[in-house]
Formats: sequence, C-alpha cells, structure tokens
Amino acid sequence: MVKYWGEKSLRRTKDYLGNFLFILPVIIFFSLFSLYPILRTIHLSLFKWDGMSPNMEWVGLRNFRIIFSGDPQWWISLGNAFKLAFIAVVVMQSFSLLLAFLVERGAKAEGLYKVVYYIPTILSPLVVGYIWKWIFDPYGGILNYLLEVIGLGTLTRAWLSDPVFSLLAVSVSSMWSGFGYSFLLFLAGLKGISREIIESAMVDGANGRQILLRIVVPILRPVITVVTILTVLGAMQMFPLVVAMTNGGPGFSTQVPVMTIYNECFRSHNYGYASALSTLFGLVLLILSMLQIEAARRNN
Amino acid sequence: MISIKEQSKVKLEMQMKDSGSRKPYTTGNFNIIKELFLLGVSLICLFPILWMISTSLKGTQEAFTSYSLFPKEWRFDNYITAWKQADFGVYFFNSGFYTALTMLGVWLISTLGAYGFARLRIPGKKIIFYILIGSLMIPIPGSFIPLYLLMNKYQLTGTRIGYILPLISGGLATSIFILKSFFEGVPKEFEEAAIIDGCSKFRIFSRIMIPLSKPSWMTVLIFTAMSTWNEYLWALIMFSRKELMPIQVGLQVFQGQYFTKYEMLMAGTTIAAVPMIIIYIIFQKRIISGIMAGGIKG
Repeated sequence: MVKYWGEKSLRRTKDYLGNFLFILPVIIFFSLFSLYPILRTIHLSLFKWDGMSPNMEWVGLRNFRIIFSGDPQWWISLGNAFKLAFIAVVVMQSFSLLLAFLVERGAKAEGLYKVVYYIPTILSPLVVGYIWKWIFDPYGGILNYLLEVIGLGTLTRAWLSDPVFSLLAVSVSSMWSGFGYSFLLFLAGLKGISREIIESAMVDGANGRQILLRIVVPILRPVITVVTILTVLGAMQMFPLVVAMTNGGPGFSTQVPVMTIYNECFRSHNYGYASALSTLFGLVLLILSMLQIEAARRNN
Repeated sequence: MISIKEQSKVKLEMQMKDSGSRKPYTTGNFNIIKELFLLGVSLICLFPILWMISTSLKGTQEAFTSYSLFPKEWRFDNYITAWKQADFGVYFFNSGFYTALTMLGVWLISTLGAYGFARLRIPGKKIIFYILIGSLMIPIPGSFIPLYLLMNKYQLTGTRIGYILPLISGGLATSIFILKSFFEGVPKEFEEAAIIDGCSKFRIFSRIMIPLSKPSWMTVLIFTAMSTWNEYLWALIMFSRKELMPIQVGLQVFQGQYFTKYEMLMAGTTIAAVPMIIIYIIFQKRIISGIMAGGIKG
C-alpha cells in the first residue's frame, strides 16, 4: 500500500515539474522586470542616492515631505496632467462616442471609417508630435496659414511658445492620435446592444436622441467606464509627444509628470527623490482608476 | 384586428429587411449631412499625414513658403540624406532587430505560459496567474528607474539584450491573457486524442496547440511589433551610442541636428512611420477586430 502511494505521488510530482516548466519563463521574466521594479521603486523612495556612490542614504519619508512642502515643477506637471486628462475625456471621448453612434446608426462607409479613424493611433507619439509641431509652426505652419485664408488672421500666434496655448496644442495633437481607439471601443460596445430593445423603443415612438440618452448610454456604462479609465491613464502618462512638441516649455507650461520624474532621475541624479515622485504618481493613477470604477458601480 | 403596435412593428421589420445590411436602427435612408461630416473627420485624420509626406518632398525654401500639398519639385534626396548622412539606415535596422527579437520572445514565452495556465496541472497556478494580471492593474510610471539600475548592475546598459528583455516582459501579460482564453476554449478531445496516440505534453503543445491558436498569437504579435517599433522612453534611457539606437530615439537626435529643416524632419518621420502604415494596410482587419474584441492597448 505504502509503496504504491509513493510511486503515484512521485509520478505526480514529476508531472507537476514538467508542467511547471511551461510557466517558468513567464514567472522569471515577470518577477524580474515587472514585480521587482514595483517593489524597488517604493524601496528606493525612502533613500537619497545619486546612483553612483556606493552608499545610499536612508531618509525615510523625507522625500515625500519635500514633495508636499512644495516642488513647483512637480505640482505644475501634475496639474498639467490633470488638465490633459480632463480635456481628453470631455472633448475627445464624447466626440468618439458621438462618432460611434453616428456610424452605427447607419453610415454607408462604416468599414472605411473604422480603418481611417484608427490610422493616427498607429503612428508613434513622437512622430505625431513632430507632425503637429510643424503644423503649429509660427512661420511655415499650415494652421496659421489656414486661419489667415479663412479670414481669422487675428487668431494666428506662436502656438507652442505661448504659455496657455502650448498645452492646448499638445492636447489637440494627442486627441487627434487617440480618438480612433476610443471610437473603436465605443463602436464595439454599441454593436453589442440588443436589437429588440431599440426596435421596441422605436415602435413606441422614441426619436434618435431619446434612444441615445435613455437606452444606449446606460447600457454602455461599463464600456464608458473602461474607456474613461484608459483615456485618463493615457493622458496623464503622456511623454514622447510632449518631448517632440515642446519639451515641457515654455517654462513649465507643458511639463508632464513622466518628464519630471525622468529629469529628476537622469539629469539631477536624485534617484531616491525620483522614485518617490514615481510612487506618488502611481498612487494617484491607482486612486483615479479606483474612483472611476466605484463611481460606475454606484450608478448602477 | 391587429393592434396599431403590431402593425407598426411589422412595418418596421419590413423596412429593416429592405435596408439590406444588419443595421440596428436605421430608417432606411441615410443622412447626407451625417455622411459628409463623417467623411470630413476622415480627412482630418489623413491630412496631417499627407502634409508630412508633402513637406518631406520639398526643398527648405519651398517648405516654408509654399502651402500647396504638391511640391514643385519632388526632392527625394531628402530621404537619401536622411538615410545615409543622418544614419536613418542604422536606426531603421536597429528598430527592425529589436522588434523581431521582442516578437520572438513574447511568442515563445507567452504561448508556453498561456498553455500551462490554461491546461496543465500546476499547483498554485491560479494565484500566480492573478499576480500576473494584477501587475497590469498597478501602474508604476517610473519603473524604468529600478530597471535601469538593474541593467546597470549587470553591465547591460547600452546593450541590445538589456533593451529587449524588459520589452518582452512588457508584452507578456496581454498576450498570455488572450492566449489563455483561447486555449481554455479548445475542446479537451483534441488533447485526449493526442494522449491516446502517445504524444508528450510538449508534442501536443507544439504540434496541435500552436497551429490551432495561430489567429490569436498572430494578432498579439502584430500589436507587439507596433508597440516595440514605437517605443521611446526605454530606448532613450538605455542608448547613448547612435549605432544601437532604434528609430524613435534616432528621430529625436536627427531633429536636434536639423531643427530648422522641417523638410528633413518630415522625411525622417515618414521613414519612421512607413513600416507601421504598411503593417496596418496588410493587417488592418485583424488589428481592428482585435481592438474591438478585447480592447488591446493599441
């Protein structure tokens, strides 16, 4: 009896070991390059270190105290991130939703629109940034030219050198490149709405707008929540686009958090402080996402 | 006597049958204003790209003075200068290299892992999987800091392999998620038949599961290729020597050299963009349905 038991569990263990080899590479990669960085970032944020000296100086929560007692570059960049996220949700996302609704409601060239709207998204953010930098250029840029041509010459300006409009310009470029993605997600969501509900509403005499507001939007709530979270996260972590267009300037008017973290780490060599910023920023993003999920759940 | 409601419903059904394609709530006639509006949005999508290409074919003077979409003389030498003098050939090769290797790495590791999670008996695999997926949820925007330190420690900064490894890791979570769902949907009869025929686990995996899941991993690979080609931040951190830089960082270096010459910059961005456009033209159906099916991060 005992011998039989031993054989069976030996075979099973060998079986498990063989199976484990399938997921071993994943575990190695994931532990080293995903899990470890998360933990190390938090760990590093409690030290002061220039990345070169052999000793790291333990400072506890001092980095965080410095952040909260006023690091203008950080707080401005965080504010900019919030502004970008806000504009993206209010302008870009509602526009994508409207487009999805219009297309789904019977557009002849639906296939064309699906393909074309997503094209800006396949370009790298750096490429998008340079294209729009050229469009906004005060001398050769096509935007100022078009404004003059249609008689709005008074609106022309040096967009990217303007402390207010530079951030809007960045926002416009990022919305141009991002709207196709939310459009496709909303379109997918709309296609999942059962036909009977719409049909019976139409039979009951509801018009397009009523159908949209009273039926479609509530059913789409989960999709809207997911898209909102993705839009917000994407906008707040913007980096290459800003590097290409303005590099944070003029002054700090287009500075973004990832840029601040990068500069603190690799320019100012404050590895501990940069990690603290990073931890804080990660926390902000996490809280934002959770708030949105909670808000969605409340609405049901 | 049929009620009015019934009559309207029948009428509606007949109208919908007439309109041909399965549209949920069209009344049969399409709105020309709406169509023009949607077409207008299409133009807004395409125009900046056309403008980029147009500028790239102009000479410096013309780029700043002419606002026509068509250059007077087509200056293809902008591209030759970019490729040869400004090292775009090198950057292009590097990007291709990194993209290919990252795709390979993601393919190998995620197919193995997804099959393991989906079908093989492994103690604790549920917990491990949840931790894996959980990592997707926790956004740590500055994780490049410890990654850099890690690479530094093993003298892998500024090396090709040091660059590629975290990129492979980054592509694993979505890939495994998608492939695991696929494998879970495969009927067990496939494996049972193979076991009866005497196949080892690995044989089942390589001869049956991989070919079967081709649509899924093809989609994953396409997205991996696109995100690797467009990657910027990690390359910026890793590489200081031009010889190893991928195209995005190279583009930024290029911009520093030619910053007043927009026609050159646009030639550079076109070179950087063309492979993505080609991939998109070839695989657009797959890409779009991939996004609409599961919201893969574009």
